[in-house]
Order: sequence, then structure tokens, then C-alpha cells
Amino acid sequence: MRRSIGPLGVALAVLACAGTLAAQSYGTGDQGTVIGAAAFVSQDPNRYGSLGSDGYLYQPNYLTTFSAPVVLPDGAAITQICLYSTNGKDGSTIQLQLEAVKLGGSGAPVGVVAIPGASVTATYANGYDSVCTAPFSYTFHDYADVDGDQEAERVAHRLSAAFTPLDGSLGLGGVRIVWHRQISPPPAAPSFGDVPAANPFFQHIEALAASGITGGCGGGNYCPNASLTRGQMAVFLSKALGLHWPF
Amino acid sequence: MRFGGTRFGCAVLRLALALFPAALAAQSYGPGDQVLTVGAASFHGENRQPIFESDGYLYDPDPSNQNGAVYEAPLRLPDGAVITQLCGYLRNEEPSPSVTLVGMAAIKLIADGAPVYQSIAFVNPSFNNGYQEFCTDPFAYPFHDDKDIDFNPPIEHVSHRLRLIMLGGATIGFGGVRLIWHRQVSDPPSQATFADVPTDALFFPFVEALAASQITGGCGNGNFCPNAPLTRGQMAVFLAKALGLHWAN
Repeated sequence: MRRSIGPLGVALAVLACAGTLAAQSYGTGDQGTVIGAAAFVSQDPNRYGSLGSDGYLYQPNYLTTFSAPVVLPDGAAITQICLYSTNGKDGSTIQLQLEAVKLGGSGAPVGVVAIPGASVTATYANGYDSVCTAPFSYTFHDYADVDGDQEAERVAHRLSAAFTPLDGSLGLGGVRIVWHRQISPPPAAPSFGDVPAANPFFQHIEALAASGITGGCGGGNYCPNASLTRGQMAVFLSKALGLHWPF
Repeated sequence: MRFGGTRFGCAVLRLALALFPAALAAQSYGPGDQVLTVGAASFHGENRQPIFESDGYLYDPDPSNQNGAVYEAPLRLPDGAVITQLCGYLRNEEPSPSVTLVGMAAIKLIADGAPVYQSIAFVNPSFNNGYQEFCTDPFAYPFHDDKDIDFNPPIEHVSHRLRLIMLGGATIGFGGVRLIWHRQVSDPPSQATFADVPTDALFFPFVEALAASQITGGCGNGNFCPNAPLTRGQMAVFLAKALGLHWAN
């Protein structure tokens, strides 16, 4: 006898969902990364949610917090977060918060740190809606002092969505993060004799050196005003991008 | 080569992934074909949580349940990436008909109105008596975070996921998904940004892509100076801006 896969089989046409990771477009312009409902996992293993036929995440019965990992390039500046949700019951809410999780190492972990300004709450909307934080600026680092004790720690980031459901109409569609890449601040002491701190290219050349993309042109110099050959260009690009691994 | 503190970043990432199931985007560069493997451990349950056996495969903890199990994993690729093939890795040693469906889908995030979702590609193999790989025919799906997936303007924000449906027995297992994809340079605008790089210039789409990504603002006076030689200092600015270099770990 053939068994039916029931409403779940509506399936592939039913999608929804999401990303977890950093968008990987380049340049220093703004970009928008979508983290969909399927990336969110309940903090309580006995109270996980379910994805509706609209692809949204629902948990109608309990106060439940769902979290999704956030990984962006080191130094990325997050400037806005928008929450997509549906809510048909006055009093039901989803509270979204970007959090830093301090990883243990030396010293006691402080647990979870809420990123200031990176919070937004979806309230009654009588249906599908989106709500955004005011613009803010938080620089994403894997290694940073998130607890203010003047000592950097290893950090994981996540988005946490706290459901306060009064009925089954409260659902999470996903989150959109607006962010842009930044070039790291230069060190106090220049790496190359011919690129002092006053050189207009100082910050950029230091960034290449720190990344292992260039070791200079010899003799402790970088030769910033020398013209570039196509051959040198090939070395820069292939080193910068780690090219190319076959599969 | 140590690039951007990648080694330790990966360690942190692995820790983060141990806490949260997640699909990582591959991070090789260039426009050539590359593979993204999303393993079974990235999938979590829609209606019941998976179990993982010693073969590393994902199994339904309640295989006799007449309601099939549904698992999904988030999918992220660079904006503009073209996905050209999807392969599912499956085990099936059941004597009777059973269902395993591995696919990829997109959903519009909406500020108002009805949600829109769309299946992009899937494999739906029959009984295979063991461990096997099943692939779609080649196709072309451009991945965008902002896309009009229902051909009904305007463009909306879109999220993507991988989806697995299992029904039929205790020896139906799932190993993961393999996607073939490649990067693309974005389409150029109809109006040229720089006076000396008109739309019929040889390098037009590439120069426009750099400008749109804020990697270059030109050489002044609305020009890009496409034929001027490049100094090593200028090269450093291009590369550092392009890659958002470099934060110490």
C-alpha cells in the first residue's frame, strides 16, 4: 500500500527559508543578507517550532526562543536588522536580538551579550509585516571585547527570536541584515620603509601585508609608486583569492 | 597561506556550527565551477528531529510514521552565484516503495500580502538498494538575496533552503547535498558611470562592477582612466577595498 506523505508532501513547492552565513559579495558597499526561518533552532529541545506551508516558523503554545548563527567577514559593520513576521493576535510578540556569545578560554565566560541597538519587536500586525531597527553600527569580529572587561575574547554571534505567542498566528519569516565590509585600521608602526603613516595608501598597503598577500618589493620596501606588470597582478590576485582549487 | 586569520576563524566557526546547524557557503573565488557540500548535520527537523547513525547519515527516528519526516537546511551563496546542478546522497535498502525527495527552494519575505514560494530543483530517486548519488540534469538558477522569484514585480527579499522529505523505513538515510555553482560578474547598467568607459568599451561591465561595489570611485572628474598604468600603491587600494582586508585575530 502506498503511504501518503500528507500535508508535508506539499513540499517542494513549499519552501521557505534561509541562510546562515555571511553573504559573500565583495567591495565596501552595503549588502543585504537574508537569514531565513529554517536557520532558526529552538533553545529548548522539547519545544521546537514547525514550518508552516507559507515557510514561516511557528510555535503556538509556548514561550520559546529560537536562535540562528550569524557569521560575517571579520570587520564587517552591521548597520540595520529587519524582522519579517506574521502576527494576527494582539498581544503576541516576537522580540529579535543580535547577540554575542563569549566562548570560554582563559577567564570565565560571560555567556550572552545583547548588542545595543540591534533589537526589534514585532507586535500585532493583522498579517504579514516587517519591522526594522533604527540604523546602528556594530562591527563584527570573531575576536573582540564584548563584555567590556578590556580583554578580547573569542566570540560567536547569533540572532535570537523570543516568541510570546497567544495563538497560532505568530510566525517568523526571516531576518535581513544590512552590512558592509571595512578595511582594518593600520598599525602604529609602518611595515615598509617607503610607506610611512602619512602615505595616502598606508592603510591599504598595511592590510595587504597583514593578510599575507604581499611581502613588499624587497629591502623592507613596498615600492608604492612603481608600476605594476600583468605578471605581478597575477600574483597579487591569486594570492588574495587563494586561487584555484579543482574539485 | 594564512589569509585573514582564516585558520582560527574556522575554529570559531566550527564551534558556532556545533551550537547551531548551518549551511556554510563555499568560499573559493573566481568564476570557475565550484562545489558546495551541505552535510546531513546541517539539516534539522520540521516535524521531528533527526538522528545521526555511525555512517554519518541522517535517519528518521520514527520511520514507521505515516507522516513523512521533513528536514531542511539554510542555503547561502554569494549574490549572483549561478547554481547549475544539485546532487543528493541517499541510502535506501527498503523492500517496499518509499519516498526520498531532496530539493532546493526559495521564499519571498514579505512586508504585506501573501507569501510566495517556489521550488527550484529536486531529485526524487526510486529504490536504489544501497548508498547512491542522485543528480539533477544541469540547470541554471542565479542566487540573489533580492530577486523577483514569482515573475511579479517588484523585487523582494528572498531566502533559500535545502529540503529533504523521507518516508518509508529504517534504512532510508541521507548523507547530504552537493551543489555545483559559479560566480558571475554583475550585469552592467544601461548608463555608463564614467565618461571614458562608455557602454561599448571592452572593459565596461568589469569597471561598472567595481564602481557598483564601491571598490573604485574613478580617477577624478567623472573618469576611470582605463588605460593609465597602475602603481603598486593603487593596486593595494583596489585589493584592500575589494576584500575588506584585514582584521587581526
